Amino acid sequence: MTDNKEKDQVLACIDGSRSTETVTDYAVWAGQALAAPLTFLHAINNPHAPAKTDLSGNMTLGGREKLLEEMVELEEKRGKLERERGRALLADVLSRARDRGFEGPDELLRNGDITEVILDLQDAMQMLVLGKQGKDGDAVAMHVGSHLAGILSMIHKPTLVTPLEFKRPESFLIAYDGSPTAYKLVEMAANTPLLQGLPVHILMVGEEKQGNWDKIQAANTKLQKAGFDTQVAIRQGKVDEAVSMYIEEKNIDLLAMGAYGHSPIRYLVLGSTTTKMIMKANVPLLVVR
Amino acid sequence: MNWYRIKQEWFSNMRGDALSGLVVALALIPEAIAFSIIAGVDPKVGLYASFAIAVVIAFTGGRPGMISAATAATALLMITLVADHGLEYLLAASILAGVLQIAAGYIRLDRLMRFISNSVMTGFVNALAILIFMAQLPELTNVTWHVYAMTAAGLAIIYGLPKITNVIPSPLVTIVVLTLIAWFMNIDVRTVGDMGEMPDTLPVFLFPDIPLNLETLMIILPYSAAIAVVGLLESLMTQNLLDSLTDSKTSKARECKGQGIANIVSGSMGGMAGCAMVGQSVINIKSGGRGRLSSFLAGVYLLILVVFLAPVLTMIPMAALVAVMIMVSIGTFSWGSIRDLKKHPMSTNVVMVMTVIVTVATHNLAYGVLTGVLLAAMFFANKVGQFMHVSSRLSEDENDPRHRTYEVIGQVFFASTEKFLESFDFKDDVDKVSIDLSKAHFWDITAVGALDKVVVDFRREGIEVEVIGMNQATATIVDKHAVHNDPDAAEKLMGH
Repeated sequence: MTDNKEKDQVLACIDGSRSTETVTDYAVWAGQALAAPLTFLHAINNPHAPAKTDLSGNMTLGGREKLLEEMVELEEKRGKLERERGRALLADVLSRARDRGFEGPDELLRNGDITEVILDLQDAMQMLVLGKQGKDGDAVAMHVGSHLAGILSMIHKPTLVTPLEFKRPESFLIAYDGSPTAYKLVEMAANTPLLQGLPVHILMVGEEKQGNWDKIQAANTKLQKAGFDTQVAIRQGKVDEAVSMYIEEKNIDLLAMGAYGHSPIRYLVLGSTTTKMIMKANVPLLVVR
Repeated sequence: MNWYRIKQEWFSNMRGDALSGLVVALALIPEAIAFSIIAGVDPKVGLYASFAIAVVIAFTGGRPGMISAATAATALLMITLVADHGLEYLLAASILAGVLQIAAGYIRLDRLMRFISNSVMTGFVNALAILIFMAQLPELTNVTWHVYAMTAAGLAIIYGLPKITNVIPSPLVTIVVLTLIAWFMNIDVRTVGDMGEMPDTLPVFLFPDIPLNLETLMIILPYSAAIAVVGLLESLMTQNLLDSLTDSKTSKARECKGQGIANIVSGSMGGMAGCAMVGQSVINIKSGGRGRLSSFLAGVYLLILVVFLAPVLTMIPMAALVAVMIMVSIGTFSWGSIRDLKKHPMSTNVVMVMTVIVTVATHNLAYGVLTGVLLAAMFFANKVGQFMHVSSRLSEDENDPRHRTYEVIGQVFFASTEKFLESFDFKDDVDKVSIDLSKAHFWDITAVGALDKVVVDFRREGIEVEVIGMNQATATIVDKHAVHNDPDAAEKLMGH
């Protein structure tokens, strides 16, 4: 843990990739809407691995000690550079956040794997903002930032996954399946200042039968009571495809969805619906557990 | 259970792991054969063991990327069991060792590792290196000059080739070249085939064929206990080493249980007990291995290579194996420890050297480590015992003449009570003595006994005794004096 123990902050992860500026903008938007303190986090991950692979299978006198020495020497330089780079990056981001009108954003530079750093800070945040793309950029465009899937599978706080371009959300969509998780999502949406006043669409993917209409109506009532301007719809097809079509059709600016559980095998082989949605959608995703 | 973590540990470095697994498998084969020979069993016992342990530990171990297989440390403990009772008892002993290790994992015996100082660990690896080297000597005595020439050539290749390229494992080249030379030139030297049976089939599950009674248990238990202890020692040490190489922290308790399961499976498949290997694990990291996949694949490659190449493996001259094992021995030795002998305090050096001497004399690393730990504890007690000082002053108050006050500062316990007793002058011409303990710590009953004696001795001389600050000083005796979970306690201990 860190001394940065301020509760209920919005934590935004930046890594210097193309998504950094967008993450900043969305974080500022979230911080302002929630009236919460905003901290920008950059994690330096030193891989702690030998620089070059040596397949000689050889053991030499003192080789063990030398290996550690060599690694330390190399990583020391790399670590220093990364740290300077990280500081500069955070300074840029902070000034951008101030330009966007956010007063007194905080910065946090940590050493370690981003996933573990975030999990350490879990209790101190009310929301996480991070970019869809990892640092390696376009090469893994279809593969979602390499850490994202892991972070999403372990975090218990609402997480905003940003696309590449910023657009101030003026409407949002709830992907609803009638499950208890999904109803919790509706409750959260009804209560959070983040989405207050935005027109909301509730979409269910499935058959157009009475049972489904009943389920969706429950959500609708809840949101209407909270003062939302609502629209409901049921579409058929694969979840990820139907949802992204609806988003395009209705010009939705933000998608809220639950992080649904999957069988482990399916997760290992296919990834989750959430990750598929992240790949397809061009709008920010608010993932709630 | 977190599936993301499993994915990370297994599949985050697939290419690196696939390659390093092969390098490790090639290095494991000669070692498994050599360690079988040490234990006095057929090479197939070590090879099956290495396969089973490497594969099982990939799933059950606590440390991804660490390599476990048949090892010298455990093989050395089996020699007399095999000689006196045969292979089946060894298999049973391996299974029992596994059970003990699982139990150790559950009662968190891994925490005892903190009592093993760096010098003991250094002594451990150095002793291991010496024993591996000594195990090669029978192959180098009463042999023709061919063997010496081939061993020398082997070492030349092993250490020369990496200077040119480090894309091919040099021990592999050594083995291939020497085997070809021996075969083409038809040199009559001992080969691996002369040492016993090679694996010809895939291993099968079979419970050892032994009578299940108390007598059997009494035969195997001492061996199993030694194997369990030494196996865990080397495994946890290797885990520490890898954790510091990759700057990470992994579960020791899981490693203990994992080693246990691996040994049970190995014993049931006709393999001997093993543990983690320092050298192989470093080779794995150097070759780019990180994940659990590397250990798994090393085991699988090993089995495939061995089963298909068994006829070829029998032709490997022992000289080639000896050359590889000399490399392993040299690589295992901690060179820095010799360099540091001058720098380190004498007590540290004595601990390291005694660990080595006792191990080499008994061929049992457990005895060596025990000696080292005991010596280290004694040296430590001796050092801390010197942090005790008794000063005295005579009262200057005219109303209170002939009153001497002793002030005790520091640690009073079994190692310092003698000095404590000597600090009081019973022949002194005084009427009253005060003993101020408020800056002292009494750690054990020995210390309290010494104080009682001081009080009694003064009284017998007719001198009145008053003890000040007794309660604070003896607070440390209570075992539950919980310094570790009361942040203020340590402060009080230093301060009062």
